[in-house]
Amino acid sequence: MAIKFIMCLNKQGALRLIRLFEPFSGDAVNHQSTIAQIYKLISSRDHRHQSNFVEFSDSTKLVYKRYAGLYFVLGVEPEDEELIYLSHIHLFVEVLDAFFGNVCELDLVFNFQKAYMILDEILIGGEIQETSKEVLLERVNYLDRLS
Amino acid sequence: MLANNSSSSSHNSMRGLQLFIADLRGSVHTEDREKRVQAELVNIRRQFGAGNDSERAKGGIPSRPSSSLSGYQRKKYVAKLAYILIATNTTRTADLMFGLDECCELMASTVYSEKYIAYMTLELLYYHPDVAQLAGDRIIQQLKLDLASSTDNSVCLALNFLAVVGKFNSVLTTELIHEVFQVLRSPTSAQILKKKSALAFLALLRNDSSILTQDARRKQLWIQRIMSLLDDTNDYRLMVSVLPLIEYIAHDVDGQACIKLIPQLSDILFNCVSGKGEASHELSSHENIPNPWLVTKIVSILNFLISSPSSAEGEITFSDIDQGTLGKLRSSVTKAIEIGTQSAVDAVARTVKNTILFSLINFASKLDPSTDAIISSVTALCSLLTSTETNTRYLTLDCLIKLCSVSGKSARDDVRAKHMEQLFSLLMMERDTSIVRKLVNLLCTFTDSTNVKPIVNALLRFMTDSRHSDHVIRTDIAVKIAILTEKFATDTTWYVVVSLQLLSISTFSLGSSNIWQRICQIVVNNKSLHKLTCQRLLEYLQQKNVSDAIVKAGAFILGEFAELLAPETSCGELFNLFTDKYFSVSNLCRAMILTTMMKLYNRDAQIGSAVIKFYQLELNSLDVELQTRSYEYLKIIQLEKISGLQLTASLFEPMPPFSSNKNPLLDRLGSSALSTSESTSDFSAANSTSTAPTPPPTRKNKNLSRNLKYDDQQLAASWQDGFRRMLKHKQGVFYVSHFVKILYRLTVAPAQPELLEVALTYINVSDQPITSLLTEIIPCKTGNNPPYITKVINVPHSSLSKGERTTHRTEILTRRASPLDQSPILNVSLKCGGHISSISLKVAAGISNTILTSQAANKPQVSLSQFVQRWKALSDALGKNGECHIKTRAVSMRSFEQVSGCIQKMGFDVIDQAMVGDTVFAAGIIHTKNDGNSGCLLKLRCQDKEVDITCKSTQGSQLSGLIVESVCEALI
Repeated sequence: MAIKFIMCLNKQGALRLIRLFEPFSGDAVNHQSTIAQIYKLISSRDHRHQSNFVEFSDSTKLVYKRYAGLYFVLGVEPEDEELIYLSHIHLFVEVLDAFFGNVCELDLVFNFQKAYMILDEILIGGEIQETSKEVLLERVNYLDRLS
Repeated sequence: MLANNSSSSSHNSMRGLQLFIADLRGSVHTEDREKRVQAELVNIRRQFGAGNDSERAKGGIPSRPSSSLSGYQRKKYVAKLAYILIATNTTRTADLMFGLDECCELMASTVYSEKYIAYMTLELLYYHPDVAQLAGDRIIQQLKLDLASSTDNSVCLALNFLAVVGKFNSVLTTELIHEVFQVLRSPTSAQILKKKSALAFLALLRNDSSILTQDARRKQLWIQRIMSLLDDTNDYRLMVSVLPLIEYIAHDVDGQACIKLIPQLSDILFNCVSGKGEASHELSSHENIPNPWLVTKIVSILNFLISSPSSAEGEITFSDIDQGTLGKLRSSVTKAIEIGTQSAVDAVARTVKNTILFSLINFASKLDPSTDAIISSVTALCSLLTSTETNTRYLTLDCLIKLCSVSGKSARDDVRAKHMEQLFSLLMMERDTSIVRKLVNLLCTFTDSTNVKPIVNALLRFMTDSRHSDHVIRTDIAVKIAILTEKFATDTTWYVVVSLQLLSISTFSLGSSNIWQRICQIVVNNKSLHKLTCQRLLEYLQQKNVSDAIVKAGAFILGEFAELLAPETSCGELFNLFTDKYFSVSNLCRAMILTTMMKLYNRDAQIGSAVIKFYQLELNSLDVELQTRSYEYLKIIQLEKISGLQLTASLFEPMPPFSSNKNPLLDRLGSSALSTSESTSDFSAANSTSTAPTPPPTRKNKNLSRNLKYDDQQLAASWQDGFRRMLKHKQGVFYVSHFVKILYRLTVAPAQPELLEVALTYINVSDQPITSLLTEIIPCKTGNNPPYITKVINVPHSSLSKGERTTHRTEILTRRASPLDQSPILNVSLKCGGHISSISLKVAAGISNTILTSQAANKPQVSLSQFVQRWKALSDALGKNGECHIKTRAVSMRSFEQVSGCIQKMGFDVIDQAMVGDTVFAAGIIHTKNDGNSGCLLKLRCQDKEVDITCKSTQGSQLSGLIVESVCEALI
């Protein structure tokens, strides 16, 4: 029913963004092994001939998409309908792209706090908060100008 | 060096942070990076002041940090902590806890960018249990301050924090949910606050929903407030954030309370997919498409609230929904199919269109679709199978499988009739294993005795031709072929040919042993197959390079039935054939061949010397099993020769039929769509039973104890006025408040008096518009033989402008008589000018409503003599058993005229007579669906300020009692 987590990993498996809306199942404190497993699973898939959906555990299904060198990964519940989550990811990437102007991995590294700011306007509480790109851009530009 | 950067002009770019990030990126080696992180942690710790740490170590309360740092510096160091958490893949989280005090300090800053960094960092750290332990109270205090702040941006940050981490700590729920709800319900909150508070509230509720479940009154009020947030149909922004909250409430808090939302949600959905209102989503390609987030969320809620048509009694199914709403839902499905099959400009648009299509097609089965509707769904889906996108094919198959299992036969028949070739060609082309798997499952659900041949042939072709080398999927398909052929084959020759072909291409080991064993079992148990199988196996064995499985099956079956090949093929020839194969097969297979040689020897002693020679050779085998077996067989032959005993003949008697009823192959399939075949040992040539796949479990509404809900209703203070009026009059005023006036009209069709139509008209009598007008008719009992059944014919509009009116029609079918106090309850909730009210009123749908006047029934009036005659007849037949008699003073109408008038209005025929003074004689016929019609006679004597009521009915004293009860209620 809801998104469990969203993360952004680069092609080498380095974490660029992470947002958990509920504790990872298993060891709540040591996240790095879960992150490593997710990376291993996703990076091993054939991106031309395989779908963007893969089961990760009994309780989590991953919906992911690669944009240039970055994987955007959403963890959702197994009975969720997958396709809408691709639109979530796409919306996030579109807003990032418009905000930073042709976004690249370095933008997310050097301005991670702004990436989080954008994410917070799109996804909170495991749900989508706003779906209009224009409204989102107006809002994040306003927040960005606040001192 | 780092402190010098504070001169940076822009508040939002922290140069020290940028340098640190650049440094880390510059370190090529992991050790260098770790050193750099370590050095930075030491630096930050020094900046934050070591005093805090030592005091905390002593177990004291952490002191406030020395405020030597400027806000900007504090922000920069806190941001560095956040970056370290991310850059180390969260491995160093535990080492960052020393910064919590400074984070809390920064949270209290009045500068937005500083406050934001504090909140962001705490959101990242909060998953670690130490955070709540070390700084939980300070965080909550600051959250309370910020939630109450007059600055929207501060409130936003606090709400955002709760929406992000709300699920991690239940203390947050108990401490802050009231504050969050205040923001959510306040009519003056800005939209962004409402959106954030809806999702923050959801996160807190997911953590602990007892705040609602433990207080029925609060639950009702809060849920009503939340539902009223859906009102603004012109602005869908808020809805996006409120719908998930409603979804959660429906699932986990109170599904019953959400049922009345079905018409409103259907309305929104319909407007959304038909492109009305603002609920469209503009894509980057400037194409307008229904907002997929709204569509999927609403469908998900509706899918949960509405159960499939075959559900148990008491669940809400399509038949409980009024026609108008159902029509909108069905048109939404049609519209979605239209959208889904349009061409799309790019992949993004395609994804959105498909999202809408799949979502609604998956939901369609709940709406009792017509065959045409199912066929158009099938056609739409099959057209997507040719998509070049892997995702689309994957999801289309998923959807098709659901459709075929839920909507059953008509969907399967349509695919069978029109789309099999397409599925076959997709099977050959597909590269994605998960899609192949789905496709094979789908094909299996379609298989019956009429199409088993093409399907099995397609699967066999996949096994031989496809580029797929995935071992697991090939094994699965082999098992499925074996099961399908066994279950559905009607042609014995074909069964043998296919089975052996399957064995011949099984070059893998896993699973194939089950397959050849099963085939051998079936052949042994069915005499008609013996000869044919032997001939076919012989042909295979004469080829070069045959699979192990074929040799195994051959060794077993030819060993058993070698005589069937005579005289064309002798035992000697078979022996030679097996010796040829012997050295090219596995050890297990060789062991079987050794046994087969014994069986051949048993039939034809002439090959004895060759057999002995072979066994002697194998005494030197490297394999212990083969060595032992050869030794033992050799000994048997020797013993026989020496003692003359017929050892071989008794040891190798013909195989008795197998008795195992269970097909071992089915175990391997687990929860596959194929159902277990019954008693499969006997191969039945006429086996054509097609087994439908079991539909996937529909979400069951957990809290369906309707009686509880009925009992929970708190009736409005003046409910009895309208209730009594309804008993006496066919139309009138049901209820009046400051906001709304409700009028009623009762009608029964003479042809079916047990079916009462209640039409309620709601009129807005306030100065402001009414919104969120939601209604529900709650029967006393739904499942388990209820006394009456309610059905909504149409729902009222959910919003009414000043003076506007809307009608709400419900049918009540009386199945049998029931006490008046079990009448259905109408619940109306509405919002008017910031005021929210919920009204519960009892609808007088008692047994007396089913009485038809003789006028309406076109029957002559009853005369007094007829009355007396019937009264006597009833007394003679039933005695006191058919009677109910009370004397009552508790009524206000006591005069003859009043009583007579009232009884007449209730529908009874009052006998026109002047012989007996002060007494009303009345007769009527009660109509019920289950118990049929029964006549009743009433005698009411009005004297001395009391009424003496006697009722006799053909159905006995219980019914008489219920009638007297209604009459008394009406006389009050």
